[in-house]
Amino acid sequence: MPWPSNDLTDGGLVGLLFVLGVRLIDWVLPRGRHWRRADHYSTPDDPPEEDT
Amino acid sequence: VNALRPTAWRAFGRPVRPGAFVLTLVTAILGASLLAGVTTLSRLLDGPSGLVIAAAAWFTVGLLTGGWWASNRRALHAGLLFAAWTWACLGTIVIADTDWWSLLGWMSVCWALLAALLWLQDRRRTHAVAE
Repeated sequence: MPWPSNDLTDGGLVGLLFVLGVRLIDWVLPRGRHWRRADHYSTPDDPPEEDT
Repeated sequence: VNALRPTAWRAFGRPVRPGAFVLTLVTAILGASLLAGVTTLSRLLDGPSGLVIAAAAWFTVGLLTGGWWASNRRALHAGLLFAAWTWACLGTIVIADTDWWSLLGWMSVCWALLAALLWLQDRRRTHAVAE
């Protein structure tokens, strides 16, 4: 199957794959408390951050 | 990474996010440059690709600015993902159309990475706050 050689198609597809890859990383990475514990800049005494 | 977190700085009563702010600014410059039609980039993207990227850039700026103004996290997140798509798309086109060592192309890739990292970080913060 020939690869679409249109610039916009190539760029759009690469952009889409990039965003999908980032979403996959988001799905795989630990969330919530795991992240807080790994964050050396916050301590249990820190006030909760604003939900903006 | 800590430098990209929201700071205590405020503008119009809303917390300023340095990373998202600079990303909005550079995406607005991209959109303006494509519409002005007088830059090297707009001469390179003079077909439909220029129009699509300009439209995506302005849509991104709208989402990021509107999301910040309305304190709407969903709009901010959508804006960050749109920024990642726009800059990754631009980087691919520029590198494919010019050469492998195009500085503009790789800088676009870096902006796409920044948008993706800001989104990933903010998603983690959302979950941390939700707990």
